[in-house]
Amino acid sequence: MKTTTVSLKFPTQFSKFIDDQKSIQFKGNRVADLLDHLDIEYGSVKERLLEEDGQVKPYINLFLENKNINVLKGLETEVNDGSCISLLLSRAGG
Amino acid sequence: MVEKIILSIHLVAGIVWIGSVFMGTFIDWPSAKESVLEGRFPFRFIIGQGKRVYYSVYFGIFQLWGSGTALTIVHPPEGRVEVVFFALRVLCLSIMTLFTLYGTLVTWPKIQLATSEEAFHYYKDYKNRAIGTFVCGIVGAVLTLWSF
Repeated sequence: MKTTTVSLKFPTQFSKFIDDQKSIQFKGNRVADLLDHLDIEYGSVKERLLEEDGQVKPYINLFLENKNINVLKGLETEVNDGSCISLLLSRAGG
Repeated sequence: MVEKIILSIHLVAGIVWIGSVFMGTFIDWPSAKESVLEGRFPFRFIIGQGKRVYYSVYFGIFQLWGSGTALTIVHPPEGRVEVVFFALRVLCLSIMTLFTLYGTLVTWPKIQLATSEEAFHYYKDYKNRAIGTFVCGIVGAVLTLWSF
C-alpha cells in the first residue's frame, strides 16, 4: 500500500492527543487512512473526531488545504504527499 | 430620560444573559442528559447550544460594559453606598466576563475534543462557573436596581 506524508494543523487542545506531531506518514492516501493511523498510533483519536457511525462530528471541521472535506469526498477524500490537513473547532461560548 | 434609556438597555442585556445561563444550566442540561443513553454525553445538543449562544452572550457582554460605562458617565456614583455598590457591580460583571472568556477559550474546545467520560468532567466545571455567572448576574442586577 502507498505511503503518504502530510502536515497537520490543529488547535493546541488537540496536540496532546497526538504528541504534538506536525507531520505524519501513514499507509494509504485517504483522510480515513490518516485517522486510522492516528487512532492506532495514539489511541482514541477517532472517538474524539468521529460519530459512532464513522462520520465526522458536525462541530469538527477537517480541511484539506483550504477546503472542508465535507464538500469533497468526506473521509474518502484523497490526499497527496505534502498536503496539509487542518482541524478546526466550532466557535462556541457562554 | 437618557439615563432611563441606558438603564433599560443595561437591564435587558443582563436579563438576556442571566436568563440564557439559567436556561442552559438548570433546564436544558438535565433534559439533554436524559435524552441520551446512560453514560453518554449529549455532545450534539450541548455543543449546538454553545454555538448558538456564542453571539448573544458576547453581544450581551459588550452591551453591558458599554451601557454600564455610559451609566457611570451620566450618573457617577455619589456617596459611600453608591461607590460600594458600583464597585461590587463592576466586580460581578468582571467575574461573569472572565468565566465566559474562559469557557470560550478553554472549556468549549476541550469538550468538543473530549470522550464522553472526559466531557462530563469538563462540563461539570463549566456548570459550576455558569452557576457563578448566574449568581453574579443576579447580585449585579439587584445592586443596579438599588443604585438608581
